[in-house]
Amino acid sequence: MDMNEEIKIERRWFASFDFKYWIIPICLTSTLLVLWELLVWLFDVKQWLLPAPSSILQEIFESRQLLFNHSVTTISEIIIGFLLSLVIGVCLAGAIAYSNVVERFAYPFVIASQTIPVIVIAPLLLIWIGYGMIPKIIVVILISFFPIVVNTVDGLKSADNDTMRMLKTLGASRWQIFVKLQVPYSIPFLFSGMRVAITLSVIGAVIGEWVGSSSGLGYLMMRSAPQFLTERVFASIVILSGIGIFLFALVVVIERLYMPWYEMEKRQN
Amino acid sequence: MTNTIRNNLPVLTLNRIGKVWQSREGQVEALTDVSMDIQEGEFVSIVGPSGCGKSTLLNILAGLDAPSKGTILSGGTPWRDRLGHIGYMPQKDLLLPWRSVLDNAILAEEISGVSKESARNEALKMMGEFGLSGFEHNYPYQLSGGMKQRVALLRTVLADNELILLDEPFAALDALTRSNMHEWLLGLWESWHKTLILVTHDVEEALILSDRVYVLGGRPGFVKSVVSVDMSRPRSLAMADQADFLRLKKHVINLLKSTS
Ligand SMILES: Nc1ncnc2c1ncn2[C@@H]1O[C@H](COP(=O)(O)OP(=O)(O)OP(=O)(O)O)[C@@H](O)[C@H]1O
Ligand SMILES: [Mg+2]
Repeated sequence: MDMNEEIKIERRWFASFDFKYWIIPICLTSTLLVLWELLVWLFDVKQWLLPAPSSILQEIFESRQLLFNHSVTTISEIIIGFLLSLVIGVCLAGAIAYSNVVERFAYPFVIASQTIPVIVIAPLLLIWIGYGMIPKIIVVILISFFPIVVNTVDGLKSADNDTMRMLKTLGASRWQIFVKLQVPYSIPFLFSGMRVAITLSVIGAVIGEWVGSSSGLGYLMMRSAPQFLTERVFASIVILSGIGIFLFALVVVIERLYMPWYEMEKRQN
Repeated sequence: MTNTIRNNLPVLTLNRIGKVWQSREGQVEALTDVSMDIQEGEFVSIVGPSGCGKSTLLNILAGLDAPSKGTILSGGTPWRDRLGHIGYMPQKDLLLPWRSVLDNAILAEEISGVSKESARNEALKMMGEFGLSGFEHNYPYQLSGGMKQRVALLRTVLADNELILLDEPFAALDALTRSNMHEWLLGLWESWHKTLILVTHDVEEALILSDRVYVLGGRPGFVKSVVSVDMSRPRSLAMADQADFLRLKKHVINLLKSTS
């Protein structure tokens, strides 16, 4: 057989880091910031009403120790909550996809858990469990396990029927089909669920802190607003967004490292 | 296979197989009264128009779907636990995109509980024969169509069944690659002594490769005729130019065209 058959190389958008891709967003953001700064300066807007970017930056620098301490709390809640909802979500999704009985039993509860507003649950958790990190972690789990479950179930169930039959002709059992086909097939779905879940985790942690806490960025915002420390509220928001973007990017990086087809791409280059 | 062949009984007998598909729109009769006898070590082809139930027949043989009528025997006794005991290469290659060529090839052995290590070592020895050396660690998306088909065939062969079904394995390939594959498959089969059933649209492909050709008619599928190909082995593609061969080819094409 001719060995010089053409090898197809498929390029994916993330294969190369394109600098041009980032120029426009960076320019746009800086323009907005400069405009904001100018308008605040031009109309002499009071700091407690709307602080300029420069004073927010200054606040971040001056209160760095304070912001750092509260960030540690919030990040811990986010990460512990997210990891737990990952474990719970994946196990639940596996059980739902593997067993019809579990699906019929568990899915209504999973959906119901999303119709009850977290704002309502959070104060109850406060009554039952008290202050501290655990009720916040529970809020994070409640809000972020849903996209993981739904996406993973979709992924596990949408494996190609023809491939399933092919595996059967090779003698595969139901369990082997699950492990060798459905699970790997669902990994990209799981990751897209994780990307949503990590952002929701940030929101969950802040909501948990708003309802009752003694530390965390959410707590810091709640305490600073009545004191008209508006620049500190903004500083907290900036840090929180930074955390959110960082964690989101982290998930994306892990996804690229883990996804087998990304491995292929690396082998190619 | 469980039934070893005694006293020359066919390795596979289809006894008046019929299949009716149930769908929301009603019933579709795909096959009616299909009977075949296939001897051990034979290379048999099935040709027929599109939609005449060729894939349906192979799916039934492989044990994926149950026939609505009829029985399947091996060595004269009913053969029920076929699923997992007959090699089957479907129309599409169905390679797993997250597995390398090597790991796609060893699926069957992995499933039967052989350690990955020893399955891989065994498969590596076959790579040359299948024109895949140097590509063991590539992924399906990096392969040409012909190579993917060969990986799928290797996967089927490594399942190590005495009977192998091939459903239009070369349909998606260009003419040149296809005749390369014919030559290659001929060589391979002649050294294997396995029983092969090949489904195809291509009359020339069927004749050059097989000992006998079943010609099916359509809607519902039935056996129109069986044609023996009495050409010597080993065969070569050059035989396609011989007068005997051309006459046979014309005969089969006429059979396919005829309405009854
Ligand atoms: N799972 C199914 N459910 C219902 N009808 C089916 C199913 N599979 C096949 N059929 C019908 O049975 C008939 C035969 O289909 P089949 O795929 O076996 O034909 P074929 O000879 O393999 O065609 P081709 O050469 O195009 O591959 C068709 O009318 C098809 O619509
Ligand atoms: Mg078909």
